Amino acid sequence: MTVSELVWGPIMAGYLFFGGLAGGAYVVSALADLFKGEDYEAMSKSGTYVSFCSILVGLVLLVLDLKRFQVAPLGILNAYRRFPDSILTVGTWTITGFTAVSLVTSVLWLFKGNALARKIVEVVGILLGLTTTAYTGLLLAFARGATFWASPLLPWTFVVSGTLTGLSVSLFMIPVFAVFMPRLKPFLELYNEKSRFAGMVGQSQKYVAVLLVIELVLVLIELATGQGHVEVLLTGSILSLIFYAYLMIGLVAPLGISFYTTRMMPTTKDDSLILFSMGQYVLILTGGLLLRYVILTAGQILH
Amino acid sequence: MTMKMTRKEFLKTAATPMIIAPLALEGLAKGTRSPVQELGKQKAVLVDVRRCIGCKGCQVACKAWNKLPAEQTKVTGTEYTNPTYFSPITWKVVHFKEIGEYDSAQPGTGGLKWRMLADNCKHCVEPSCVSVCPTGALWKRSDGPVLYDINRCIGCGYCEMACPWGIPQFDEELHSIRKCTMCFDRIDQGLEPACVATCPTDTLQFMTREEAERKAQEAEAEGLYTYGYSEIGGTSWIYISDVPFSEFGLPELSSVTHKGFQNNLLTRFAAVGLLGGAALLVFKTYADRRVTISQEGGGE
Repeated sequence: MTVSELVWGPIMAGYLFFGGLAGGAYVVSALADLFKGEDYEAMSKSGTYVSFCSILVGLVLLVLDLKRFQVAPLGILNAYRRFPDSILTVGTWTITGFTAVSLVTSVLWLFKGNALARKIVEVVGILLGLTTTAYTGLLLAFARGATFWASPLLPWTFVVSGTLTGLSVSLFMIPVFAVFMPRLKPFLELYNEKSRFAGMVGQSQKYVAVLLVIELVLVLIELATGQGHVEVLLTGSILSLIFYAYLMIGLVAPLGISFYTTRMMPTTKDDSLILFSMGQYVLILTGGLLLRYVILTAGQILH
Repeated sequence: MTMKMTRKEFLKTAATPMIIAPLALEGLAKGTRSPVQELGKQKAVLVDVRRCIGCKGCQVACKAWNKLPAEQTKVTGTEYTNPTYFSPITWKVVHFKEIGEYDSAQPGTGGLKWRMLADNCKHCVEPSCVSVCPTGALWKRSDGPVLYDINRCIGCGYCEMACPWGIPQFDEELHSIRKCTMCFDRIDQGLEPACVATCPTDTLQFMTREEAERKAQEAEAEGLYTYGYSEIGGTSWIYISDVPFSEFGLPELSSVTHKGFQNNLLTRFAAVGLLGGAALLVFKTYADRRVTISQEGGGE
């Protein structure tokens, strides 16, 4: 099988990325709401809104990738039939449930709904969010034809990457909401209090660093123990270039930023901390997308 | 202010759900089909690679019976197999392989072998494609054939990825996957599959799976190679050869069925999660303790 004959191409990689991002952003924002409370309200809200939008984008990409959708759009309903026999059906139900919970949480935040109700919904949402991110990896791992994917580490890699990208996007969107939607509370208030926002970003750096290290370790173990001709990933192909780009952009550079901001940067420099962290989030998000593309393509080339 | 609606507008509004509802139900109304349908004893095709002369009669018979058009193919220059791979309209490929080396000093000693292998859907006993299909478009008949319903396929491509041989191929014109059907329509009429009926050398023999299994066991006892007897839980296309099947590019597969493969992976996934969680907990306890010690040290 060659790259031009891929069954699952960049659109599918986008679906896996946005699905993982949505699950991760929800889990992070719900945990922040449940355990950190009002101090992290902006992050919880940002993560919830992004999560709902991301899962919608992911679903649009999924539908676009279904090759029969244009002739029989309602046939997609058949994908709900084979629960629990087909992992894809299990995923379809999970994502449907997650989308609903994510919508309800967003509405409860947007219209200042009952806090207790929101927190109950969030507990369910955390389970569904984690299942959604794990599902994107299990979907590939269960495809027996692609030996490269048949690893129990792959779903965990996607869970870690989903959480990392979810955390990054939740924080990245706070200034974006503040600038472009100033009436949406409490983003502008937090953004104007630079030291408080910098404190939040600084606090999250240790989580970002731990997640980056775990992802790096998982990827290295997968490479070392991977079935199939993993050398295609390491040398002599365009895919190997993309793989190295992922390692540098998605892991090494963000780790360097984490190290610099937590160990070397003076604690008084709020603006620099925010600027470095924003750059780091962009790198992590790019890396998350590259990771999905590399793994998806490698599995099919090494068929 | 009251809204006035003309009769035409009213009919239009009322008719919309009437049109949409049956369409929505149409997708669901076909009923849930059991993945395994009850029909007689499991059939199989025994393929004795040693007998094949590479006439490609089976390939032509497959095209003729299933009304599959010919397609433009290319000579690769590296092997004689042509076409080299399956397509939505080529369900059978005959692999041509030169195995070993010709010894000019001792001609006729059998150093060089020509072997041909008629390859197609193996109609697994527990098919991966059926297992992963989310819509039930693919199913296994208990007498052997793995079949599909083109109206129920949504084109997700998962069967293509799940099949260890990448057999199902998506047809862009039909908007569905397609593959060998084991000529189930001929079997229903008490006939052999078209390829078997055409084979002039009895390379392909149609029989019950029990009989094919027995012949495979006998072949293994004679030191021959077999494929499909136990691979992936067994297939309805069982091969016997005097050269290893890796020569034809067939992947080495364990006897674990797709369900076993999934369960095994899920167990290992859970084990990794538990171990990872425990490791993180230990790391956090250690990190917290270091912070406490350094704070206590700073306080003194």
